[in-house]
Amino acid sequence: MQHPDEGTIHAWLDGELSVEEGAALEAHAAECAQCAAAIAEARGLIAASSRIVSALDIVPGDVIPIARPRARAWYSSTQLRAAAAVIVVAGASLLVMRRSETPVALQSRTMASERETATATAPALNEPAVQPQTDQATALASPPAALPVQKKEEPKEKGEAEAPRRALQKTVSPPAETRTNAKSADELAAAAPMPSVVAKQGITDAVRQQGSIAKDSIRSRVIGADALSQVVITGVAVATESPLKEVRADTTGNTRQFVYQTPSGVQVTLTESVPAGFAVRETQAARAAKSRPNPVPAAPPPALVPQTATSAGQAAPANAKAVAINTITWTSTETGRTYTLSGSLSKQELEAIRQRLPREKR
Amino acid sequence: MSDVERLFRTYNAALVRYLTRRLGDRDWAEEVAQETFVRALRQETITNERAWLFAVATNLVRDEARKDARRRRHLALLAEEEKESSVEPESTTLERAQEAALARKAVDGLAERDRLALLMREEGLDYSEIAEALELSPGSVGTTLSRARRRLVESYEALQKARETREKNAAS
Repeated sequence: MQHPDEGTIHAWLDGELSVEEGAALEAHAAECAQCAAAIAEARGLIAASSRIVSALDIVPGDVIPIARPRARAWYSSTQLRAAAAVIVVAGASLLVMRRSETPVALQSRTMASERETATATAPALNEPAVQPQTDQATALASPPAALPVQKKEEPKEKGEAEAPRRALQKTVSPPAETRTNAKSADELAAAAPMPSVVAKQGITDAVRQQGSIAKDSIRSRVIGADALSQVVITGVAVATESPLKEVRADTTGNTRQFVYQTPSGVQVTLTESVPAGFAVRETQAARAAKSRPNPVPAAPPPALVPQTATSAGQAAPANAKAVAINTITWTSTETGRTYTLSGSLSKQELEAIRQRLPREKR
Repeated sequence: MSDVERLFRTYNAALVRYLTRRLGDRDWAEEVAQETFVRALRQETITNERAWLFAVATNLVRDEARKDARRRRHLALLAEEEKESSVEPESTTLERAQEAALARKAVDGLAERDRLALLMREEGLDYSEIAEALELSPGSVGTTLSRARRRLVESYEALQKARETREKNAAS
């Protein structure tokens, strides 16, 4: 057989040659490297042109979705950060406690909690391997409580996450419940942007997950002065990452007002105005929040992190010197809302507070 | 179920897709497809249904296209160029839209017969149907398709390279 021309090769690949013709071509290609290469190229051309023709079906209007805020990564949610913070505090407290507790009185409990500490801190130590992302927030948010969610949303990391997760399951009682809690808290956060309440909910969840450890850590604060001072240090370090303490939130029409208290005891007011176009969505979100069977508890349990910080003596109004009331204003690119933050602080300090506001408000 | 109804149910989707790819305009494609089935109503006998439908649709496009294809294509290209230069290449959907724009340019750059043969083949027409619809000799369909595919891929790659160079220049 002569070298088949390109048209014949395409016809063969398209299944348009007779059985005899096809067999002859195949036999020839088995011995002729040049034709084998031509066949390989033709296959590539058929596949590529088919792909290019299919790309014609992507009509811009059909694929480009209406601009909407991008879904937030699982580790960026406030409550996961809060939960992670609680676990860091709890783990540190336990370590501290084990060093400072009097052996006789507390030995039995220490032994019991020792096992938990080991398992609770192990995943945290393994973190870099589990979370290769460079985001610092990720590093903070990735300890145990976050892992069930991670398992669901990032299956490709399942293998890496598997080992710490197994360790985690020894301490976290029912993983299914954990997931539900995290999810419902997330939904609440999306429906009603009331950061501190939601964050507290997240913390409560974390307390539930890490029940025994957290209780131990609370107790550790009344055990010894040594333990207390060291717990305080971890608490403060974490508090810089936690949201501001929300004192009050009022809603009037399209305007919302939040009063936050900084760790130094200064109160600042954040006014949030919703542009007219967003009002409808806002109402829907509010309605969705109301119709939820298990809404945000009216009186959530006290948040651990801020208390640790304030009980540290930080609460003493160090900035007692009177500063004139300053105001900064910005518009959130994510929600289109306008914010005004005012308080007896310098503009730089207000900017610093703005950085610590819940993400969706920045 | 009438014959035309059966024809419509069997071939409409493929015909509209073929025409949309051919014209770059879904509404226009649907109009032409409907007109094609109306013509089928008047036809007494159709030996090869699929080849007949694609041939009639192609001729309808050709007749109509003569009037305003040039204008339309020019406008479409302008719109695509504008879109390409203005969007940020950060999301997958935008990349896909850009891919579509490149594909459109590459397909439009083919010779009419090559383009039609290729689009028909992509709708599953066999060589004899393509030959009948385009009034080609059956033996030349393979050559037509191989030429169409090679040119399409080469021109798409060239356009892609040109865009990358443009982006690189814009970035630096």
